[in-house]
Amino acid sequence: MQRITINQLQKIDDYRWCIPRGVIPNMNTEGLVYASKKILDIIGDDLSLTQTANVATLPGIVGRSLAMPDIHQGYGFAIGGVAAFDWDKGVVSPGGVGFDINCGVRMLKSNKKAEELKDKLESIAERLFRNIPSGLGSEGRVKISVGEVDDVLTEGTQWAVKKGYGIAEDLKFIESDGCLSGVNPAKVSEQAKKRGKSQLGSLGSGNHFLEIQEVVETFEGNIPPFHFEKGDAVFMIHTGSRGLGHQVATDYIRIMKHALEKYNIYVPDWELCAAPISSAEAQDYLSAMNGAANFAWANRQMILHWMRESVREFVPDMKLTMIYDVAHNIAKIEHYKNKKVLVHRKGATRAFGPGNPEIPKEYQEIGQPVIIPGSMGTYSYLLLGTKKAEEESFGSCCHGAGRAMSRAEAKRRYSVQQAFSDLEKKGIIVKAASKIGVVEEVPGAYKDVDDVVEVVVGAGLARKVIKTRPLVVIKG
Amino acid sequence: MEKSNFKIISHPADTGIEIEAENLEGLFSSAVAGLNATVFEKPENLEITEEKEISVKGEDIKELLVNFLTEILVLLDSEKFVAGAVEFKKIDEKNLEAILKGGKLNIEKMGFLTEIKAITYHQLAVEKKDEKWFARIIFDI
Repeated sequence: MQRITINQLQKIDDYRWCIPRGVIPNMNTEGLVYASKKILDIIGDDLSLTQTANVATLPGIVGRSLAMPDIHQGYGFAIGGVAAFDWDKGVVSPGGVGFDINCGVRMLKSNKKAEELKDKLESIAERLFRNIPSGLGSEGRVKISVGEVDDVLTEGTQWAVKKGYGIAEDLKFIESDGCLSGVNPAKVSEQAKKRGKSQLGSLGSGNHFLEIQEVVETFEGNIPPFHFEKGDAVFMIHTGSRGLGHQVATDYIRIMKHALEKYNIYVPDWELCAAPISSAEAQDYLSAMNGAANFAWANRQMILHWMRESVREFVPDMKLTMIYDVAHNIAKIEHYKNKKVLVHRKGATRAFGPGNPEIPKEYQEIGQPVIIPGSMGTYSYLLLGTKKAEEESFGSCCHGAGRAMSRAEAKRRYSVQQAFSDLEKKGIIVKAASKIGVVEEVPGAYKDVDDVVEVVVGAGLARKVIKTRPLVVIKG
Repeated sequence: MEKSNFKIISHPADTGIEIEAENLEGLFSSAVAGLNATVFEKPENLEITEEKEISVKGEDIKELLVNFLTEILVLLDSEKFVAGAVEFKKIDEKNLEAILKGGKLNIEKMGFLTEIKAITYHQLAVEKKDEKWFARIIFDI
């Protein structure tokens, strides 16, 4: 594969770099990389720029192939990539969504200050770690049948609330109200349902986590309806569709691999395997993907319920209210300039601006909340989407800090003792099912989230609301 | 039973294995061993207590290997069954029938490193060179 270097980019401004058409053959459009020079020096070493250009060769692409500042090398599509396709003439690609369909993040406001929770954090952490399954083989606490999995696939968070997990009020503060329509459960394989059935209501492992955080800086913290202050305690859940979504992706990558030849689609990298959106293969994938997305939202809803229960054991008057829940691995049907498109966001977050009818009325004046979890032990941000994002990046923004170092390299450079000691020095309580997993997630393995956020804010794709730091980290 | 011959390899965001074997049985058995070594701290502590029969197909040898390891993963996720050894009744480049010998997942005894989300086609290689089989598989974690 031809590899693009940062020297081949054309600088547009301090936050935008163009990958010109023609830098690799068969590009239908340009690439646009949102990055600072500092970030470019990090991403220049991997294939993410090349992968962004490769996406530009896909048929029916609308606008440019986009790369967010947390971009890093993935399978076919880079992680941190956004690409929109014409609904009638374009393609859908499972690689443009990722294996963990609707991996996403949920943020909650509490009615407490971090200081008030200080003496109880160890106990709360222990209870969260015990009550919310995490790690390998982490089964959900609830046994459901394969038939009930179908209900979860079609109803998403509505299923969870019906079963007593959380309250109806939670749902409107979730992207797409926590349920995408048009799901045919028959398009999700039995293998996927088997994997998912025992994992609904579990955190998983890797970079999935729960956090209790403290607001350390406010930027527009008092923009209504927000009333954030420094020292407020907030909560965060980061997880996805577990084995069900992973299996859906695996199944349809296999199907799309064969679709390339059937539909005579040229790709410079077969991992961009795709099918015309109008094809049966594509429609089946979208149905299954929506089902997996709904599964992930139900998963986060159940975890929220157990989080509330766990915390209230020690703080009986604790209230956790939804700020928002965003997906960052998904393909969504949206409209831009009266054109219906399918927007792939792989490691990227929707960031709609004020006035967008798809966001809750409470946020109509200010825009959609965008949650940016930092890497383990580092800062996170709450941002707001903008009209500029809708005009330029298909209403999209970054999703996190983005890996800068392989897991193997992280394990070479850091010991378990060092990783835990660093967290302890920062006063962070960690409960982890895998100690090696903690090493793989050290902050040094990721880009600096401040640098990433600076780019999306500098480019006008988002505005800062608050910055938070972790007090408790629960991971699998 | 074939001797396992694999090594764990690095990848920018995930992890993988490279395998070498005399024949397909050895290749596929080593792939299971490599998967277990990726997931568990002490895979050697697996207690073999049960057997499962599986039958897997693929369009070619690469797809067969991915589908085989995917089935191993499905059994781990859905039934907490860890495959230890594999006894092949039949294997060629598009089909296999085998008996998996394994046991129940026991994190306390085997330790836990990481979950594997999926067996990917990324940089997937399965080839025969100089009478030996080689494979490379990247796991999405």
